[in-house]
Amino acid sequence: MNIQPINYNISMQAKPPASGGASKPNIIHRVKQAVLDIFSPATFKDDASTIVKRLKRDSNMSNPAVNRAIMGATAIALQPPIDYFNKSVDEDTRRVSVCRTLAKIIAGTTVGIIVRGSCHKMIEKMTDLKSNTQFGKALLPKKWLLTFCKNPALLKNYRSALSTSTAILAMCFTNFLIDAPLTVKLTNKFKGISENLKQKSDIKNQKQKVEVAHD
Amino acid sequence: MTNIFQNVLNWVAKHFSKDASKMLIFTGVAGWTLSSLAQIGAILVNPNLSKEQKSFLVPQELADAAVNIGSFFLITQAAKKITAKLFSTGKFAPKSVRNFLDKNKDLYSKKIGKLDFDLDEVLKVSKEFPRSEYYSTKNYYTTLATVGAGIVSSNIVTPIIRNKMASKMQKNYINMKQNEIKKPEEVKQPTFKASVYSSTGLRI
Repeated sequence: MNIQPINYNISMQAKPPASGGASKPNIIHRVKQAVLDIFSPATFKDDASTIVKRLKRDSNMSNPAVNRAIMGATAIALQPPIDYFNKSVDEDTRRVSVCRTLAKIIAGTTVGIIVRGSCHKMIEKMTDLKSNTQFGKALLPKKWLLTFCKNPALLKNYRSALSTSTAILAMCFTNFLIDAPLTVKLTNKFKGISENLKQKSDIKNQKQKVEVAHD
Repeated sequence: MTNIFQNVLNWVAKHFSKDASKMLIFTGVAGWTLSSLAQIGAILVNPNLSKEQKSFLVPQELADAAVNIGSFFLITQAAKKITAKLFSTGKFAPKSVRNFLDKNKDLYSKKIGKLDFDLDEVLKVSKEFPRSEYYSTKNYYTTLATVGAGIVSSNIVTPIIRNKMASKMQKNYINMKQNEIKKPEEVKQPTFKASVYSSTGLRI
């Protein structure tokens, strides 16, 4: 009896490994690559004056108060028209919605700029590496002083994180004590103005109809 | 007390000094939630708004917070990551980095635009790599993309979606109110019939 021995050699039983040991990219990887492939290669100017301008603009856009102002300005331009042309509710609700949106944007942006701007300035003054006073270094972590001296970008990020979180703590109070009541006052004011305008427009339309009827 | 305070500052420095955008995510979500709660309270206590108007404005405010948070992750964060990746894979590059990549074509030409390629790793190895130009251009356009996407998500996508959600909730509220007005007439008859049955024995 010729019994063939069982071949325990794995390489003969299993598939050989792919060359280089690289595994097939998964679906998420392919989707991400596909998104990157949508864009054509681009080269940007990087002369000294362009870089200086970009650093200034980047610093401005990252400033919490300026950032809030940009969002507020674009919100006023874009949100009220979207509410005004929302045909899925009646005209009365639409008008009130526009008034409330305007009021909310004005109140939120004004308070936001003041709170965030103040927090950012306060944090900058209390994280000053060059300061000799206790107040000037009050919010600097002692273990990180040398790291921040060597790398100012890390200090900038630290300040940004601290000022944003301080602003949020302040907003716990300002949202309820200032934002909301101010929004109510402004909503009622704008609502009154819009009702007056509507009444005037209705009276004008009625007069025109009467004149047309007489003719 | 001083130790606890220093520990908090150390924690913030450790987690956010290399990437402040992580804090923006937490504070953005917290900010929208707080703002929404305050505004809902203001709407409910405003005597100059009718119930029908409140039935639209409260859901609108809730939907505003929910959609803002959702679109922040879907749109704003995605735009930020895509822009950063376009720069780190060399697809978008400042002129000096492009010149560096062209100079070292043999090493990098096939890798440009590939997901696994990371210029942040290349600059650790190569001393000739123009770091400041690379980082200043990358950071600038990433910030620009984040702000632009934030404007689109907060001021266009969110208002459109929240209005649709709030309109639906208002319609449900109005239908519910109309059904409640109809129901009292139906309830009167059984009571009337029951009282007639019990007092007279008549079957109507």
